[in-house]
Amino acid sequence: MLYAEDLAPGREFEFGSMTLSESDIVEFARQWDPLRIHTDLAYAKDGPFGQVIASGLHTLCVFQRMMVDAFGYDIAHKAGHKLELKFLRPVVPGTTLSARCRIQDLTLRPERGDAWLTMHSDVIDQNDHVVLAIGMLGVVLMRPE
Amino acid sequence: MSWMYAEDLKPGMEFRFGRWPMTEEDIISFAKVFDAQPMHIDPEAAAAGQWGGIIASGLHTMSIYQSLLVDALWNDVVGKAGRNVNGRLRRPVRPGMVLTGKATVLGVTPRPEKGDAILELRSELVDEGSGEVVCIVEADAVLLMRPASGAPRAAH
Repeated sequence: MLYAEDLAPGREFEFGSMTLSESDIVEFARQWDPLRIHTDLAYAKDGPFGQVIASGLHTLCVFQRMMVDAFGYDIAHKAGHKLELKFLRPVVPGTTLSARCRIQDLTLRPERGDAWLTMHSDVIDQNDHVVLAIGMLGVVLMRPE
Repeated sequence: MSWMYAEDLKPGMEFRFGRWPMTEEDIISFAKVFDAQPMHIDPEAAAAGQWGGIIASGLHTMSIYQSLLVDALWNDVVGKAGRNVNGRLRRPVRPGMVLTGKATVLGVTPRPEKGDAILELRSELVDEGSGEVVCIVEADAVLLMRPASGAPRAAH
């Protein structure tokens, strides 16, 4: 189990490898982000990317899935408070995503037994291009006494 | 209905969201795929935890925001691409809540040289029962400006 004390600023994690198929992209978007650029193959073929692109939300959800797969419940996580997302490149069918995270800041609150954590994450494709940059401010637990 | 271009959106315009009832079943099934932490998927563990019961993944809440925003606004807007999204999770979202809310246009900055404009939006997701804001999302996106000919672009 990782606690606040283990998440020193500067610490880095790399994890994940998930490939998004065309049907993954369409299925997610039909449910949560039903814009034609994500869901309509014929429409997208004539568009700027020549094919559908993943909803940015889908990329974010895949990032979270890869993080949970990598760490399970090993991070004593209390709450995510703030997410800053920058969508930098389109994610097309067949893209393999992975992630790099860096702990930027940690402020212990011993009186509450927790800490504010600031973390930067990059979701990257198989060519090492950052497709989504994520700033996160959250609360993690301190190691119980 | 007619498509909206950047020129059709003015600061202060509001777009009301529909209603989205939250069920424990939906919260668990979303989280099992994307955010399988005990507070989102395990009723017993969640009941014993800090929130006293299952709460929705923040990603689930953000996904509902996007779905409501597509219905309220994006479906009617020509050519758009999201750039930045800043979300703040203010209160836990629990089964039985009904989420609703609105998006407000903060600003539209034309870029005539590119034929587009940057739209800034601020959205609030509200628990209908209590009126409390559960999530605030500020986002900006690129929209197309109306073509000089007035003809709709091939993109739509």
